[in-house]
Amino acid sequence: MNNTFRRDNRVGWLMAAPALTGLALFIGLPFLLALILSFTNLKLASPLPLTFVGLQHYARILQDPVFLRALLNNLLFAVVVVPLQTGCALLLALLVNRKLPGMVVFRTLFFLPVIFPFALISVVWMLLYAPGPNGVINSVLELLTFGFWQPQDFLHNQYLALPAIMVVSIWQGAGFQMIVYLAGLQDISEELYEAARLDGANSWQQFWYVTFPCLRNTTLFVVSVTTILSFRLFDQVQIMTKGGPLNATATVVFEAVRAAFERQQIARGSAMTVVFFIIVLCLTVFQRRMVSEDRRVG
Amino acid sequence: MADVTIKELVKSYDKKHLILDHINLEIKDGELMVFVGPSGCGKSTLLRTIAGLESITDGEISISNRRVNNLPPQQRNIAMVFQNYALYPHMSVRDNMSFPLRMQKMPAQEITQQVETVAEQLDITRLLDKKPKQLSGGQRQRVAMGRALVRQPEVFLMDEPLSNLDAKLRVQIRSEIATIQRQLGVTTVYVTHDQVEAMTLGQRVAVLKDGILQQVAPPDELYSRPANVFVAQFIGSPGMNIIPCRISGDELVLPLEKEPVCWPLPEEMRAGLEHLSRDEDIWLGLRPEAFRLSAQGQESSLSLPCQVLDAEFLGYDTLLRFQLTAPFKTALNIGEQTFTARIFQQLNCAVGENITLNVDVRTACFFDQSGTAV
Repeated sequence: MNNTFRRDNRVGWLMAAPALTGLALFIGLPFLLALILSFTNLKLASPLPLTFVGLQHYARILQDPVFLRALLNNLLFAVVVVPLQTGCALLLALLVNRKLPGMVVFRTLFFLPVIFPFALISVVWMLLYAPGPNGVINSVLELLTFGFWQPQDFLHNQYLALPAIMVVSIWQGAGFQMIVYLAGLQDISEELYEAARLDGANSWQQFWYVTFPCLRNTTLFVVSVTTILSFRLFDQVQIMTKGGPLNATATVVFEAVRAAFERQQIARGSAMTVVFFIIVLCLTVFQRRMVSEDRRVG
Repeated sequence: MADVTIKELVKSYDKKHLILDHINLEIKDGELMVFVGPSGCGKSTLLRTIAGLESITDGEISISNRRVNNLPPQQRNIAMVFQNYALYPHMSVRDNMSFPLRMQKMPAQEITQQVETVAEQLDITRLLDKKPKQLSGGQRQRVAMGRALVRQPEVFLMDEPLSNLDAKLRVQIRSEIATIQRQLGVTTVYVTHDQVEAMTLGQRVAVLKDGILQQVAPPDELYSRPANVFVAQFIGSPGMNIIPCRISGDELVLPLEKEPVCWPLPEEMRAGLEHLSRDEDIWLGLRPEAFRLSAQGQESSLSLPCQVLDAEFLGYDTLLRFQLTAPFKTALNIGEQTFTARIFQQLNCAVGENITLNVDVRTACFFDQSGTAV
């Protein structure tokens, strides 16, 4: 018995080896490197010898107003985007979950932004956000408000830049969460709705008492993934605003990249990514807790 | 309490193929009506049209003289137990049972009281704070019934509620359902594919096939006087044996080529068969119990020579599967058709052995060429 068990084990490890190697090489190793480097004074093209500086970088970045602003921006972004994007995704999923002809077309259309590269989306939206009365969004808003809307330069206004990026992100991301929700919706037995109807529940009550609770785990997944993604916010910022104006759109990852590759402060950038990692880790652990709790009770 | 009337009900998805074909049915107040039939016969669809979960193409459904054709399920005041119970997985048993009452906006105190009363009735009080996942199949079944009973519906619908339970539990809960239904006197419609369930539960049974109502009758009548060959073979386990025959005057004739076997019909049976034209080909239907092992000196019985295919001893009786042997087999043109007899004793027959069975014609049924009882 022991032999078979060992052989099974060996085969298992063998099968998992390619994936594990990839994970170790491209995720484990770089992170380990970042963790180690964050405790040193490494700076490219620096004449100083490499020394161990302990938690110095962490202390510094946590006092750096730009980094703190980036953290705040990320937090703000998450607070706004997570509920809105999740809500939009659920709404879209409910809409396309009906058995009507042509629904596949709508599902595809709503999912389409997900497969476009962010670079492309950012460029298209920069055109939409174009300042002056000729910009698409400006002129639409002007039309809708009967001329009361004053043309804005969205991406260069410190109050509008972050919301502008939020809109792009929601538009791009909702399609993916929609698919996740759609899978969750299709998992709910039709009988439950029939039972609810016979029990006297109207459409809203069916949603509130059947659909929503049955989507609990799906929602937890969607919320945690969206939260993690919103802390990873980088592409849009890099292309559309470069963190400006006045750091209004700076984010943790953007700051880390800027520190490491613009200012050659590898160690400082590494420290920022470690902070980012800790945040994501906390979120993930929290989500796992919630899900396993449901399993235990359910 | 309420009666349900179904008039000329038609259900079709494509206007060509009828799922339900002009169904006329009256379910009396307080009655337990069972819909039975093979899968795909439309019995569940018929139940769902009463519930309002399926729309109808034509006809009328009324509950307590109120036309409900266009009423959504919410407004029909009916409760249903589903095959897979359809308990809300995230709610405790108590919440599941309270749900219909909460939807009615009943005061919380009354809800608690009513739920606890029904829970006691069904002996599920100790389950009230559990979640459906923590319950066994039988317990879930009870909770589903509790949820349906708690709101005191006018009509109680059950869609194959026992099919997910093991055989022993099925018998137990079957009798519980019958008891509860009798106590409460709720008009109940029960769908099943199992004819044993139908016969034991139903005050009346409606047999369906291909969307057509074949017969509605109390179980004993369904068994002794089936309306057609389908009902005769579907009801009873095993079903009725069908053999070609003729009626000639006062005699039942098995039309063998050289020497037809004639047997005088009992007095009481002749009257019903007078309208048949002489020598018309009809079908003789014999329940498995109509066969007896031939004993010496029983001249009055119709005897059939047969070959045993197998004999299943069931403890009290024996199911004997047999084929007719020459000259019956070829002359009646029945090929390899097999028949079943129920013999109330233990038999020591070898497979392939030739024996003679006597037939008690008093319980026989006759069907015309189209299969309708005559």
